[in-house]
Amino acid sequence: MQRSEALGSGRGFRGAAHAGLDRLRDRLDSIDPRYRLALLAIAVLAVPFVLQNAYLVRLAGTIGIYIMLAIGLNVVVGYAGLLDLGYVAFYAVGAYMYAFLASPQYGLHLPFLLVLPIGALIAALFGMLLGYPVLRLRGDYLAIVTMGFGEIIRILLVNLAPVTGGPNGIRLIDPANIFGLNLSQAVDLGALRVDSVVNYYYLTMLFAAGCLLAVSRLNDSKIGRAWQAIRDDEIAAQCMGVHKSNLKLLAFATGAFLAGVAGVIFASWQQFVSPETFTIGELITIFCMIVLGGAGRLRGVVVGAIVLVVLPEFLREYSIYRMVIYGAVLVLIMRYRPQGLLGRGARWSAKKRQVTPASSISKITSSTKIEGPPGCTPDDVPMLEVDNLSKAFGGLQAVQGLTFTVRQGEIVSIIGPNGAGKTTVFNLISGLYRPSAGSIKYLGRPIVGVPPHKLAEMGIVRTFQNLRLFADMTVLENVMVGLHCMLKAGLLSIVLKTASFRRDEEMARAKAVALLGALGHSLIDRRDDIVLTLTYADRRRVEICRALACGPRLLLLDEPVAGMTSAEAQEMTSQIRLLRDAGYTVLLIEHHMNVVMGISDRIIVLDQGAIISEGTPEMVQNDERVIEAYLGRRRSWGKAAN
Amino acid sequence: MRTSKRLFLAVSLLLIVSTVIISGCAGAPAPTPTSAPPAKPATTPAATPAGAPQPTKAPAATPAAQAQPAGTVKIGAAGPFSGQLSKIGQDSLNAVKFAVDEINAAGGVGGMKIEVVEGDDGADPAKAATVAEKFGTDSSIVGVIGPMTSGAVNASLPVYQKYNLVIISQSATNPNLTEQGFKVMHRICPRDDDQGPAAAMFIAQDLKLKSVYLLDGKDTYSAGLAGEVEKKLKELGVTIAGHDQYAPEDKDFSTLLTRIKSAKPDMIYMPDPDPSHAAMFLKQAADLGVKAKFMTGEAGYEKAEFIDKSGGAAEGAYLTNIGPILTTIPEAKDFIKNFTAKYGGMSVFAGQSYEATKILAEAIKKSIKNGKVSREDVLSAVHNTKDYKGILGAPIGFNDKGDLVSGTIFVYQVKNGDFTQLKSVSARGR
Repeated sequence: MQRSEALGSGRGFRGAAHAGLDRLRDRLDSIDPRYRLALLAIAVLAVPFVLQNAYLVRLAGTIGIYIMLAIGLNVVVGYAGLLDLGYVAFYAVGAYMYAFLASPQYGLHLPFLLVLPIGALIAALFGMLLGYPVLRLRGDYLAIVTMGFGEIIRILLVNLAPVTGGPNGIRLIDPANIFGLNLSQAVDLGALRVDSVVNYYYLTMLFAAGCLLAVSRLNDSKIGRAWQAIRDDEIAAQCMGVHKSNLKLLAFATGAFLAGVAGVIFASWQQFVSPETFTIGELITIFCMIVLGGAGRLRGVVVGAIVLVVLPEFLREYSIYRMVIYGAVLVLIMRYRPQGLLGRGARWSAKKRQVTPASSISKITSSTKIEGPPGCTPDDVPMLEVDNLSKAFGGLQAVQGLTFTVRQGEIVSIIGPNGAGKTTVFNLISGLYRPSAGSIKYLGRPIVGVPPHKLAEMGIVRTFQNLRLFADMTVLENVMVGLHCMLKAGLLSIVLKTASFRRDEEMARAKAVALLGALGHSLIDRRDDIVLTLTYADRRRVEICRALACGPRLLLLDEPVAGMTSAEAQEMTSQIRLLRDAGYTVLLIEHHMNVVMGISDRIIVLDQGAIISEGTPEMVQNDERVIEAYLGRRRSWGKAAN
Repeated sequence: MRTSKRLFLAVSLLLIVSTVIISGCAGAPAPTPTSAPPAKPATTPAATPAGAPQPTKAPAATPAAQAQPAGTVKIGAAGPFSGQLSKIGQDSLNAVKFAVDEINAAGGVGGMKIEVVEGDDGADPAKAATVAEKFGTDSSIVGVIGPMTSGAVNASLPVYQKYNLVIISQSATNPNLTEQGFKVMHRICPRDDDQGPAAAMFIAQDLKLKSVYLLDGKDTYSAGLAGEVEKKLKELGVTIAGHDQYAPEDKDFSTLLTRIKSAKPDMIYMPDPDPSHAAMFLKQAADLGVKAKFMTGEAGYEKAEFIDKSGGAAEGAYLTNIGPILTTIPEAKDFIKNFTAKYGGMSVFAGQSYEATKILAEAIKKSIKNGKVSREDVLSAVHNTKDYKGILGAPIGFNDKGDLVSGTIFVYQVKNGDFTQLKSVSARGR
């Protein structure tokens, strides 16, 4: 906040505009949410009476439709990071479903409120149909395939004339009829005559508000956090127990569902649908809305929808220059405010989103003891048995014939020179790689081929050598992603915000704060900061917190003290020891020998993919082969010196 | 994973820039320098001096001009003035303005000046409905020329009906439009089921051809018309050798033509709304040695765009038109001359747009009561238009549905680099 104001000062108009927008955003943020909602509701209700003009009310209603479309696309693109350019197809599916089921086309005249869920669900089904084959695609490839899908649907609408009416579309669609009230007819309320446009304005606003509410609740739940985690780092998300494919499909389906709702309402309002509406140009408009308003932020999306509906209408008096001015304005906004009108430069701003209520903190800060792993395990089974494990990448044998066991409650370190295959071992155990040969047993169960998110749920949780935190999320959110598997709330209870869901969330937040407290008190104060603003050491701590949140039994720590000062490393060492004492089994990769020798029960030394030594720290320290691997052969060294 | 973020930004920027480019292209008027140099104003009283669209003083030539100006009355012009169809949209808008300038220069209607309000819908039905709402709420607008595309008319009809605001579309040919009982709907163009069957009957009964290959550009106009032709041809026992689609932006037809050549049809029917596009097709067909005869819709009447641009390949081609070809009508001579002098070219619907505007102005004139014009009166005056003689060469009148009374279609052939009228066909009721 300070930074943006500093930027804003003394830079003339541009600075003033920036500062103004930032102030507006901050002021909006600072209003009590309940008042904000009430004010907004009153404003929305009052619009038709203030405007007193059917044309302007129609525009306002159109904004409602676009809000639904834009927040739906925002779920897919902004939250889950899936570049879906076939989005308009789902809008078309919703609109045509209503046209099929409530028009003379097939002689069906189902009621609006019945078709609404049908249309939306079928659109969601289409969303999953598109989502399933493109699950493995990302970025530009995904964009191309989804764009093709959108065009296919539009071309089908044009060419499948017997079914869809072809280019002529479907006309004479029934107007929305809600509990006997025909929305396409003016309503006489004594002295007041309410135009049909006003009816539809309220209808679109009602549903836009509903969609906004549902999406904002989803966003503040385990599902929203999992989407953002996938967007920021797919692999890390999987290793925290997030089922990548299911959540991506859910994002596609949710976005498509909202588009379907918008489509049904649109068809009932216009009473005519034709392929001309569902073009790539429409997609670009919706896309611009989320980019312009501030991608990822719901309020920004709403502002984007308003600007992009209203702007071209207000430019009408400029005749043929209208679209040129419109385009130029968009380019200028993106040039001078790339974060969007109400967005923040998310990466660099300190605070983000809602602040954790203090009440949930005070309970915990006093007792920052590390809790043990959940459940109990039979004592006699080894935690991890690795037998003859090998992994080859083409001709490169990264790991070969590895056999070792980790008993419950042990701290075992894997050491070895760079390129010895240590991280490969972790990737094999955590399911990211499939071994070329050999077996891995976890608590007596073979786990080769079990996907990473399943392993995380079973209790094998890891950290990463090169830190894979979810960069655009706060400290607390990062840790709460770790709690993904613990939270059982379903889609419906999230959207309805049931008591059990709220209890769950409260519990999760408290638990996350407790974990942060256990690994370093300073982290609690920074819980609402974007994780990238933390120091390297703190980020390492957060990553361990996140892993602990997953409820592991076997904790795989990949260089937990890398980049720390020796004091910090000392602290971390004692914390790892505490973890062991609390009942966690720890498998460690570390280069920092003081740490390794200080806490390890046993040490495994790898060189060129094979174990060259195994035993207690003392045994390993005195092993000739280990010294040789690290320092080279003494004799040959001597020879070379001669 | 930063790449995906950067990619996201890149794609967003690309999309935004592309909207600018698309809209930028659409917004730019494209005068073609093919026309004659600006002619001296003609001596007819109706002509407007080129380049002076807003004469502030009415010439005292006509008695109407002597009446005191009693304010203004507005008409709306709706159509795709931006986007893919902006060429025909802008051209029609120019024709509307041209007609209004003429009327105002001659003293307006009953002493009132006419003002044109633009309503760009980009051929998007939803935007057309918004435009209708805008026109409807502006009570000084008493009639509308357009919308031009069938989808736009379909979506906006209920809105215009709500405001009792009469519309005259110059180019929406979908038969359904006038079958829905909306009283405000009128059009000054043939229905697809007038023109399509007429073309088919000519092909089957006059030319006695056995097989036809149909092409359409996927848009409502050409797909609708080709569909009607196909229906009637099948009825008349003509073989459909194929029915293919192309995109309006296609420049290379070789694949399509190779397929057509191997199908060996007697005739290719291709109702392209862009005559220069059809000319391009014909040129490539001649180069590839496709022997089939060729027929197109009313768009083909543009001599400069169709016959001249085809480089001789259009010789022998047939086309259907709503009436006599504009260039062959004596009444249209001044219009064509002055319009092309001012705007540098003319496309398909300019004549119809001009005529529709004149009809609307005539209706407004009849509806002025005490210096006021009501929408109801304009609507009924437009509806009751009978035997209006303008520049289209045939008397214009509307039937109960709002269609042209006469569904007669004129068939032309290109002979010696110009159009020759062969016959007129009426398919209505057959």
